[in-house]
Amino acid sequence: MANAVNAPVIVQRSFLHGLAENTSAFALAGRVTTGAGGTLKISGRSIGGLAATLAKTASTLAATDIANFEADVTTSHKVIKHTVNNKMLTTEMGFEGAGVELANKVLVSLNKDYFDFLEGLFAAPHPRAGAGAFQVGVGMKYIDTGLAFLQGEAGAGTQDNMITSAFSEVALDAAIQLLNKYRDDRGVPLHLGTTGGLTLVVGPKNRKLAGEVTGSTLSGADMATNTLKPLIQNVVVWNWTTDEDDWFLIDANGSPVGTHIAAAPSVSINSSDDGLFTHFVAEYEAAPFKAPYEYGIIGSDVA
Amino acid sequence: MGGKDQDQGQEREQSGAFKLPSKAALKAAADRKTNRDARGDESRPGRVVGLDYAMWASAVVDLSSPEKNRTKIASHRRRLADKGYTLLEGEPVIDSFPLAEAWIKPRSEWLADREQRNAKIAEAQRRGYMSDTAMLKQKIDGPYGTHYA
Repeated sequence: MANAVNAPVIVQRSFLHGLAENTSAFALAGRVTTGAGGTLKISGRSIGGLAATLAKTASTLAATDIANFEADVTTSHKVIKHTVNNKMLTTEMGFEGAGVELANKVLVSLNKDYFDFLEGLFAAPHPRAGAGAFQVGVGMKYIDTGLAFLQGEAGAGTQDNMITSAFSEVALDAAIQLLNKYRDDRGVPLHLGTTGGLTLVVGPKNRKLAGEVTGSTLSGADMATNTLKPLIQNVVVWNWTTDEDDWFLIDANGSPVGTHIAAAPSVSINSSDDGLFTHFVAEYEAAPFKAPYEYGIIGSDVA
Repeated sequence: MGGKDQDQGQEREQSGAFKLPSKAALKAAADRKTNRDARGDESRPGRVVGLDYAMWASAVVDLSSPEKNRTKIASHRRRLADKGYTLLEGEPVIDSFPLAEAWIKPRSEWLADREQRNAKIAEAQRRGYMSDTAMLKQKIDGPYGTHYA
């Protein structure tokens, strides 16, 4: 029988079990950082280009341009409060159930914080939007077509981190090519994703096809070797809210998007003043973030 | 060279004969080289080759394995039609898609639809269907000062 002494222990233990047993999808599909709450600073730099050869007779070397962009991410304190009549909590199972359920809801919240943020990236302003050097073009979104590199300088060009095709094997291959070809702001190809470690995020309607495309030994189109299989490390399925056709390819090794956790999920229980009710409070402090440099993510959106 | 074999059909294919390009064709090839930088890799996966993207936005329907994907293809076409795209007639080439069709809409309309989606997200956030992080903005410090994005 649960009592005032052992109830918190039961709830906390089952809460931890619940956290351990549930999937933290957000951790598979982006970077996770931990640290102090308040404000996290994510910086990025545009440094030089390809290295220049320094002649033995040289006595000077011109400095290459360096620009710094820094994003401030402010964490939020998120809380789930549940109040239950004490009559409902007379058994250990009742407390255990409450702990597991709260753990599940906390993880759903953390996932939703991240994936809803991801879904918003098609319409979110790019941190480096603008017409100047080191910027990506006026009015550009974080995931867009025609993102500039070396803007206003010799060798300037544009590139896409957005593709406008429903999910298919060929579309995934095209997205991987975009990632492989992606250049930094100085125009240097980054060769992202060439050695694998990619995460594919799709909606439920594309779950089966995504599993087939990334898990089969042979390619569906021509029965040749499936070259996509070794590149995709994880497939994450997420219920998109505003467009079920969306899908993302994320370089898990160096993702520009992720979640900063300042306070890990925890749970506490307290009795109400009148002693008739029990308050369960699960809380965490976190925030999703996007780095000023978008290298490492490709999204598909058919607006 | 090999001109006399031109009309001999199957026999010509087996003979190894060929016809060198005309002077006009060589001149046209040289002009192309002068007018366009062929050294760089111009491939743009997912884009319709030759389409003016300042004017248009495109979406692609992959037509690979049509027998197996018949319902998927029909569904994709329906979705694009619902989203206001029109099939691009002819035989457009879509970079990295061996067998596909392109659907297009004016870029101005596409930009408006993207803003519309932003409004949809804001509404979903307001109603509590989406987390309040969906439109989260960060303070950005850079060479051009501070702004929110």
